[in-house]
Amino acid sequence: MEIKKILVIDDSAVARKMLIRVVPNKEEYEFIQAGGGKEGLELYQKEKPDLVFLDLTMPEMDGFQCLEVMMKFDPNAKVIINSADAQKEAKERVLALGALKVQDKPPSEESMVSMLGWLEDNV
Amino acid sequence: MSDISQFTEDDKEILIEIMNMGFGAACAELAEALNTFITISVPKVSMGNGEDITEFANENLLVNDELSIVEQGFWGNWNGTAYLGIPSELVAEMLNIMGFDEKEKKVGDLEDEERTMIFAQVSSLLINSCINKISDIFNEENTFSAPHILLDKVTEFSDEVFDEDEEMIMAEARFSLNNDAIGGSLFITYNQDSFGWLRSAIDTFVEENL
Repeated sequence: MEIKKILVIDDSAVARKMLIRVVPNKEEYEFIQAGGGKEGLELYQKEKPDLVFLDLTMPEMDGFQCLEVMMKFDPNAKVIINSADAQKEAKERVLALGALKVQDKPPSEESMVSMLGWLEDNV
Repeated sequence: MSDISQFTEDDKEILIEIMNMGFGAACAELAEALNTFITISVPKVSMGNGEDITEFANENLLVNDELSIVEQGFWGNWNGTAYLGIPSELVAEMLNIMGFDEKEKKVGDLEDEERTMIFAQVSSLLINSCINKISDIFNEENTFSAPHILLDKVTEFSDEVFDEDEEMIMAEARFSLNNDAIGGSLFITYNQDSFGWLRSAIDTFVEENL
């Protein structure tokens, strides 16, 4: 898949910065940021990003709810979960909802390179 | 410098995200032990004197019924204390997974030995795991004291727990299971004598991660 526009949904500005920092060759991408699930859904519909990084633990609309709505709106949405919630069941739930992969926080440069490489080769 | 004014709102946001990562890892261990799914809250952080911290802790203590508050100290470059608010229902869950039959037992009905064992188990799962994860992020190591029951059959922290003349930073997060039927709260502090270390640790974190 070709990735040009990336939407990062996380209530923590710190977490969004941490994630974008480890994306290699970041000047090649356009990043859009949302501070919550509802804002993320609005931006997804408006901006139609190629890839979404989504946190799970967020106030009001959490990542599980956001993912469910997003996949109903666009079953082809490409979503990577970036979360501190390391529970096995949490990972199983989001994969069942349609997420492509789950990445534990904090993301490393190595894990991000590997993730983007996997997306290029497999999606 | 041991003054809390050296910490900014941006520092608070960093400590919230670090607590999020530590608590997420800790809850994963508890979920595995209980073979259940745990709902995790977004952490909060407060900075202030003992009076401010007591108010913050009580505002965020998840109370459905009487609970026990377990205290466990830790030290290293980062000195602090963790407090875990555990309701009776969670103790019953722990009894169950530890092989006891008396699932309906309440905290006050248990023998001291049973209580100590259960709280030590919960503590090792949640407190140690959370502190260790946070220490990993800061490239630190901590030593722990034995957990003990600080307050029993209470619904709040009493005024005597936190020294009103000492400033501290407190992070909290809540967890619940069985569709939010049972829950607890974890609080951790950064004591005033660690503020110098914390300032430096946050600066290093920013340099390396942001």
